[in-house]
Amino acid sequence: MKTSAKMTKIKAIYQKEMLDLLRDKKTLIMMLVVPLIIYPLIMMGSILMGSAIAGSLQSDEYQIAVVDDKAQEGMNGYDGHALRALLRDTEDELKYHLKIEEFSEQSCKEALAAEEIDAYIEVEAQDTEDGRKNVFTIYYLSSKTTSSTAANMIEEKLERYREQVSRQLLTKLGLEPELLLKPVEISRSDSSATEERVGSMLGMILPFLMISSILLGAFYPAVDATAGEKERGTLETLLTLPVGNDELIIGKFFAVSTVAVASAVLNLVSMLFMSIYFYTVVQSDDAQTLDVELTNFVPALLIVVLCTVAFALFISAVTMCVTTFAKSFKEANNYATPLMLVVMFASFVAFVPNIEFTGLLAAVPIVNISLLISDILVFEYNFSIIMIVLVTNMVYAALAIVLLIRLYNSEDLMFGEEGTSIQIFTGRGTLKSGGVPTLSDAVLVLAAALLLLLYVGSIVQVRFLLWGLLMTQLLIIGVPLLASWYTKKDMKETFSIQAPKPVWVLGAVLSEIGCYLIVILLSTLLGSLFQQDVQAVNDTMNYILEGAGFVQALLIIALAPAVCEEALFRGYFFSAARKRLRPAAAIFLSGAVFGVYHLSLVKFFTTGLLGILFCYVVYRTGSIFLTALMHFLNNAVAVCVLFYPELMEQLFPVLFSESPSLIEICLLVAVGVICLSAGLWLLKPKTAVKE
Amino acid sequence: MIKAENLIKTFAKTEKKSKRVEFNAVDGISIEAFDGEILGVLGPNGAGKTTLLRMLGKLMSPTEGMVTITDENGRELTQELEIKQHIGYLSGNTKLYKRFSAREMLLLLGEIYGMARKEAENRIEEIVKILDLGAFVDNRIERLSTGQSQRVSIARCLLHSPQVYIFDEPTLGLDIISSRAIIDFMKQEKSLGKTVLYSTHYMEEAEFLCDRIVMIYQGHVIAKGTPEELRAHTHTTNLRDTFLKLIEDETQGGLA
Repeated sequence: MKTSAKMTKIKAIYQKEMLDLLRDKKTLIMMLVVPLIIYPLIMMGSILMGSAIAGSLQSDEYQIAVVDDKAQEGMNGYDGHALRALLRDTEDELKYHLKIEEFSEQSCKEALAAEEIDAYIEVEAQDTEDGRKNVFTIYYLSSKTTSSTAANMIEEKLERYREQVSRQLLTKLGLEPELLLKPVEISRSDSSATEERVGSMLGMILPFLMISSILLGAFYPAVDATAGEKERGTLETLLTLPVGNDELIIGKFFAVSTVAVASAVLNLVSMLFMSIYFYTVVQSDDAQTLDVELTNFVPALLIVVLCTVAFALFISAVTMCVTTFAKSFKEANNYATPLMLVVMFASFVAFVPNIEFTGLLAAVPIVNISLLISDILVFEYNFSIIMIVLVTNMVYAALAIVLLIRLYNSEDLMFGEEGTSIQIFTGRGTLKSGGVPTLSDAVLVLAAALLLLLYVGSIVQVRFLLWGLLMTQLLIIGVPLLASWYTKKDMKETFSIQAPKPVWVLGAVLSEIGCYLIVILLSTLLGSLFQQDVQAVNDTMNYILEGAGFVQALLIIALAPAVCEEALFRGYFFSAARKRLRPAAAIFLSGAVFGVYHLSLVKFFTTGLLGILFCYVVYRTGSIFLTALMHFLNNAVAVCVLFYPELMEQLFPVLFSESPSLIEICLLVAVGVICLSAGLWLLKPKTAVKE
Repeated sequence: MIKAENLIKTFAKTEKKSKRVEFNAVDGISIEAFDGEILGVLGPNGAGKTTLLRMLGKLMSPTEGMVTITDENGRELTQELEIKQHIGYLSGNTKLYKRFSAREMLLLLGEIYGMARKEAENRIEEIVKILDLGAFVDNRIERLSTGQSQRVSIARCLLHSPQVYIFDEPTLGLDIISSRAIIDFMKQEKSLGKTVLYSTHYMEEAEFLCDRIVMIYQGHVIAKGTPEELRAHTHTTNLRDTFLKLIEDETQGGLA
């Protein structure tokens, strides 16, 4: 076909989509109103709240008490009246006021406990290393904000009191107090340009906000152009037209990215104005003037805009790929949560301090944009890296479009079976029992488990350490169990509960050993690239393991995940993916999901690889017990290394070398591949059941 | 004229134990419809009518077999986009773009059909007169009544003056007046020498409308001919009984 005819068709599809989108109130609100209103609201809100809190803290009156029965009047110039006068004194620069109540020592304790007073000072003459002195102790409740604020105020006052006494004593001795108290002068001067400071402040939050807002901007139009077309029943109309899939997708894609880019630019503008305003307000509090030369920002902003466009293209294509799977708006919205989590997780990278932005990271989608924006805002230009980011984003966008065109060719997706695929929100009575969960349900369950992990899991882990880890695991198995009970699924089929053949156990152990060797190599390799990440993971582990015994650790770190994580990832999710997708796609998707779940860049690759192997084993044998065993072995080795590092290093020295030689690498790979293939060979499925 | 040879469409469906089983929704159907005739495609639910018509309209690609269209100049076309260019396809699932007015939608579609702007505008004026859309052609489609949007749907099929019309249960769920518009339209186009393929569950409608009928069951053609021939063959007096008799014979044959 002639190129011009193709262009005309793409243009017509584009016009159709744009008109369709712009006539939809929801899109307009998402695109225009949200960015224009929400940022000012958030910023204003936080300013108002900040000043309200600060105001309430500073202008309040605090009830305190002084107990100095055991103080020695006159010792080193101690004077109870002078102290009380100083405490009571309302000075101009201090906006608070301390009111002194009279209590005895015993009643002070009770009054503090009953919160009648905010804090009290006990002055007592004691023998110290430097001789006998009056010791001032501030009693307060750290759990109460007003009490700890009062304690801070008292400390501030007492510092003044000490200075005042020193001054008096020095004068009495006939010395110059100023010279002795401050023999040297200390001051601090920030030599980074104001632009850099503003930039670094913005650089922390801007990537995250911008990436999220582009995603939000792209998401709604993407749903409208894909699932929306199915839901409104116009997809079949579209398919009757003499227009190729490529023309259709490209036209739709440009419309979605137009809205995404417009929304991103609006977000950016709105955010920028608010940031400048915010900064001005913060600065004027300190009675300083803002001397940001906005013109210095222009080149940086231009590059940001360019990257934004490239990124919006990429994210539009990805979002369209995801939403194409949905049949309705409701279903598409379920896909939003996991997508959002992945994208936001990747954009958090900008918060990692001092991460080095290398050429390799510049090729990692989302992460690269996040780092680029934060770097550019502190005026660190590296033209070759910028080019890598721009080019890779273009390439990823192109790949995503190619994938999308293929998806649109799939008649399964276009004319898939009707009816709701989200059973979790369906009344239980109307559901038929049996079968495996739908993919939509599985995505939803996964998102719920991930959210619980992020919010509840991190809290209980900090609070209960190792037991918190166990609770997290119970949450992880709880969600799919509950969901499959509610939707009346066949538990045996959903969780692949099937006894393995004895020879499979051997195969599983062998393939686990093989995969472990390869994973160890991979993580050594990746570890040198993401050292901070590895350090963070190790620190968390050590912190959680404090005071735990070996058996306890083995049960909680090795056995619990082997049961719970297997049930969610290789059970519930994989059986759902397996039903809807082709085997390879289901295996890779489940593996990737398992990698993402570990919330770490290094672990994404290593656990992702393990996840793929585990899924493959379940796919071949249909038995989750095998992967539970493999998972247990895998984690058990890690626990052994944590508890008995010397022993493990003596037994398997090659696994511990930080920079293995080429021969060692080749050896490990060879042994790994041999074990893995032998193991997989043993995992032959049962001979086909006769038809 | 439209012709299909040995069309097969294989679908995969998931049965117990997540096993994917393949089956042929359309299992080797050959069919041809000539210029100036209305060909009825009848069959019970799940017989494969919609899949067959979708393959003929190139909405789906057949697993095997080929579709050929002969245009008004006698050229034989087999390419997907060429075929779509010469087909007007209407089904219960071909909804309209509700946020557009009929005129806006038709203009955009005209562009996709490769019509010049002026040409499309003139054609739309013509269609507005033929189908009497004048009163609402500039209103948004979401505000139109069922009957009005049905006429816009016909306008959509008519826009590019196709040689072949494929109508998949076009009168399903419509009142007498709205179905009347579609039936009249099919008769009109037939008299203009166009080819019309038409599937329905309304036997009376098919009986007086169709020149020939193809009866489909479980992906196969079980009978074809004029309504009279089919009635005579099965010794029945109306098409409803013919239909039941044919299905009955087929099920018993299958059991035997």
